[in-house]
Amino acid sequence: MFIAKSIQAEHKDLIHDVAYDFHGRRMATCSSDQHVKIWDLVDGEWRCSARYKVHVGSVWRVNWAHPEFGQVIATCSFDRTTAVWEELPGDAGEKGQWVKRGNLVDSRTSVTDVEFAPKHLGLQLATCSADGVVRIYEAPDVMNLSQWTLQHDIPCKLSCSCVSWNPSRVHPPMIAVGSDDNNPSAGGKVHIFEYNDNTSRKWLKAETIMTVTDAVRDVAFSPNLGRSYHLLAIASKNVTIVTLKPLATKKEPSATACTKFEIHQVAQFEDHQSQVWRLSWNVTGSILASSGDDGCVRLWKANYLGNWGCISVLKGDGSAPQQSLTEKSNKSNLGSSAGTSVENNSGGARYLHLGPVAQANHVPWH
Amino acid sequence: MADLDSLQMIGVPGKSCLAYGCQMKWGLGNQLFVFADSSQKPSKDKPSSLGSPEFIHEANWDTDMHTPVARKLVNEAHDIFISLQNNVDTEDKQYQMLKHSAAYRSIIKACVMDIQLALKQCTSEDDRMAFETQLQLFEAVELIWSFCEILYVSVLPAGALISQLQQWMRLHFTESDRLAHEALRGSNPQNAEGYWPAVYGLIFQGRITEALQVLSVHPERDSEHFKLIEQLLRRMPVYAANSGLSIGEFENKWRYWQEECVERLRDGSFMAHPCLEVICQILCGEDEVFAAHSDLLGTWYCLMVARLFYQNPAIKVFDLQYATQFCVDAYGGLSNLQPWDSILLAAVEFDIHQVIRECSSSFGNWWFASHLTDLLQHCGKLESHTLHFGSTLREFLLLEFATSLLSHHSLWQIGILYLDHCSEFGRFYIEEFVERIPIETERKAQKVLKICEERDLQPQIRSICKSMGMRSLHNKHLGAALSWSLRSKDVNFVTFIAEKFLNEYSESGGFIDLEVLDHLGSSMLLSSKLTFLGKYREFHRLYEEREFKAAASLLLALLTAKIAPPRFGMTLLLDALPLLQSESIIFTSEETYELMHCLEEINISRRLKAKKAAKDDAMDEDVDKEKLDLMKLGLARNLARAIVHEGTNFDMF
Repeated sequence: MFIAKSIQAEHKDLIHDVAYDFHGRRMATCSSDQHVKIWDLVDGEWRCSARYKVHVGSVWRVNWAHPEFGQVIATCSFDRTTAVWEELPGDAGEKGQWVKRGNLVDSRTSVTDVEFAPKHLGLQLATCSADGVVRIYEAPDVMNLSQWTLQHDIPCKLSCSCVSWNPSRVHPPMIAVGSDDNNPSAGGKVHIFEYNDNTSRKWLKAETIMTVTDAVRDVAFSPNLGRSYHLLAIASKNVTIVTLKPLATKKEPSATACTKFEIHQVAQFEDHQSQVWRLSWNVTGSILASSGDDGCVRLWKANYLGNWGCISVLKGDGSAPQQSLTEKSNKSNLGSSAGTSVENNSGGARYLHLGPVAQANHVPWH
Repeated sequence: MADLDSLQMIGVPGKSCLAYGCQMKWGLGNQLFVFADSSQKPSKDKPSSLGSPEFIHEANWDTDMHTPVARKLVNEAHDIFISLQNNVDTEDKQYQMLKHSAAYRSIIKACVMDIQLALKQCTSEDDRMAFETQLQLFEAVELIWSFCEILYVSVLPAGALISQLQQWMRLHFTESDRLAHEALRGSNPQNAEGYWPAVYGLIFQGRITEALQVLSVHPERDSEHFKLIEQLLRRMPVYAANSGLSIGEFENKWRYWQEECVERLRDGSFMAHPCLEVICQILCGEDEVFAAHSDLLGTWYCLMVARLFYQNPAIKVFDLQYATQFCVDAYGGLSNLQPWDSILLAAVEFDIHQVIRECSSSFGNWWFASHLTDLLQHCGKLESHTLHFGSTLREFLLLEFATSLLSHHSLWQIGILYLDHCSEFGRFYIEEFVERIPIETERKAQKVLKICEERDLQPQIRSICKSMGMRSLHNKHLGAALSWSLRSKDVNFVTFIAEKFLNEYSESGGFIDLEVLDHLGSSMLLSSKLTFLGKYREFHRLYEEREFKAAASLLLALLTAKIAPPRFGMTLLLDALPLLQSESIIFTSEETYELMHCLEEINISRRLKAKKAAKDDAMDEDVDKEKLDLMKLGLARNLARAIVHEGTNFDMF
């Protein structure tokens, strides 16, 4: 593994989230500077095609909708709103403009996470907020994104930090919600909600993962790959991976009952030795990436016997980045804070082979 | 079972990543984006003190197979892989496996030669380094592959094993050839530094004829010692499977011959000539002489083959493992083994699991481990293990290999073909990946769709078509958007685009992207809006081609069948106006009545609407009134003409 290139993001403040579109050819970044930037991969280089102010507070998360619905992103912010943005058609060669299609203002506190539902559920959006409410919005007419209706609000009682949709096509709609409540006595911090389509047409709590009682910063369902169980990763003081196996229920749909699950913890890693902040599965759900307060990104993978292990660690080493973009002369900015100026090192090797491993680009067996 | 020794630490450049820690997001395939973390609690909203520009770093891995040289290997290996999968159940399986193994080896060899060629031509130091690493890697791959082939794929009778191993050694270790060649080139070969090592080396490898050739240039060749050693060498029994000699008989012959050698050594025939004495010691298979020449032999496995040849030429595959200890110790024990040496050791010990494990971690790619495992699994070598992980392990490695290909802009197609042969997860991998393949061109879209169609991935096909349709719509290519939407079979989407076409018509009075509209065929029936659009365009075409009669009846059908959107009612009627006013009579009286009926209906619905809308469009009303009057006049005139005409015509009969 090696760092192939570095992109200068030029946000005026810390980046909170980066999101890639479905094909990995477009990227959206959001930052405390209240702006979103859209990047396009042109001839192997990332170029910023749009930058616009989206909120009046820090923008926490940004998420792309499936390309079936066009070029659409959602952002959520400290300013208590969630916004949906669509790129307007541009003339050939010219980059389109982004317009706000939806402004979802139901939350009374900071909106901490936003995620589009898997596309087989249509254009739906889940948000969660610090006051402990998960909201499900839907654009009933996918051709008209200016109409968003609040379909459900699900009270969670605890301050919510993250939400994740289960991508499975065969299971009823399901989300996992994590809470960053610090009080261990408040019980399990990850709740599983399931949409009951048969009778109540409501989201009901199916399970609480009781083993995780510390503050949870991120949850992520893995792509299903036809498995009979669901795989959920939880970022807490450690990285926890649990399987949720639906228990066979009686045939007749009962009014209130949700699917019950057999919950089994398959892995727990303390390697970060600190709060874990973010989790992300790769496309096929074979590798999980986690980042924590130890400043490392760690990659986790199961071997053929189903045993999980760490395969790689990425850590900042303070060396000068290899820039792929021609750096704009931005001297005033660089000079303003001593010690943070970045030396531009555009010559030299094509790749930076880093780390003490002889064969820099192999991921070892474990 | 995380192996901490092999755990990889990757440094991420940039001050902010050091100061704040890292954060990540996945790209497609083996692509990870890393940027400085902002682990602040979402309850604070203070701008941070960091003022420097932020960087996002892109990390890649498993890209070994993306170099041009390796790409050729990947392409060719794939053909062999597919052919192997198809020949698994044939009767001559054993032969097929061997054939395919040899085919793999030949492309590895070709790859090695390609790299050697590239190395000669390359100019930059960086490239040279990269090529040299690759060369070493692939040479090792070939060495290990052929070794495993001898042990696991070919089923060799005792006796034949050693000769196979010797051949393998000759192919890969040519040091003694080089020494001999150098020595013979000089004027005094016997005094050359490499003369005797060359002779020993050749004898170690069992190449008696060549050894004799080198000896024959020695000036003392006619001396008694030389004659004697030559005699011993010449009389060495050679095992050949087709010689008619049974292995027992061969062993007997060998024993007699070696006893003679021992006799000669004991009676001091070579005392005067220490170099010849060494040769005789080798022939007697004395341990000391092998250990003493470990430098010349180079590696533990060369030592093993040489030693076995002179100590136990009829050894069986499973007994090889008992011969390793001495050889490994001669090179300083297990701890001094190089990674590739230990792979071979594991292979000899029949610890295939360990072989595959080490192959996966020692080579920067999954190509070798996955193909070797696939071959061994088909040979049934994995299942015989205590754990029944054979097919799981094979699939695991193939999935890894395929994933590393899927990150590449052109090799992804091969990756998909590999996934086809992963019975458990392959299809799901394809499902997840195929939709995400970046589609830059129409041609690539067709390629991806073909792949989906071959595998009957209907949801993916629909999704890709719809995404393409959305993109065309975004780029204002309505015609392309329509054809994509038709392929996606999404009724709402088709209706939406048909609507766009009609709007376009209302605004400009003409149709765009005629080729698509004129060739809708039966797909027109997908949505009633589209049916109307298609038929209405057909009307225009007929009108342009002056097929007035057909145009008129189509128009009437459109009006009476009520598939036209309400707002188009008036437009359709106005389209009838020129037909009504034409010189010849096109609408019959009956048809005219129907038209009048339609007009009346439209009129009524309009008035109802106007009442609701509280007359805020007085202007429109006036325009419509004018049109209505014109229409009424046209209809009345045509009716009169038609009745008169029909009356006259009727009279004629």
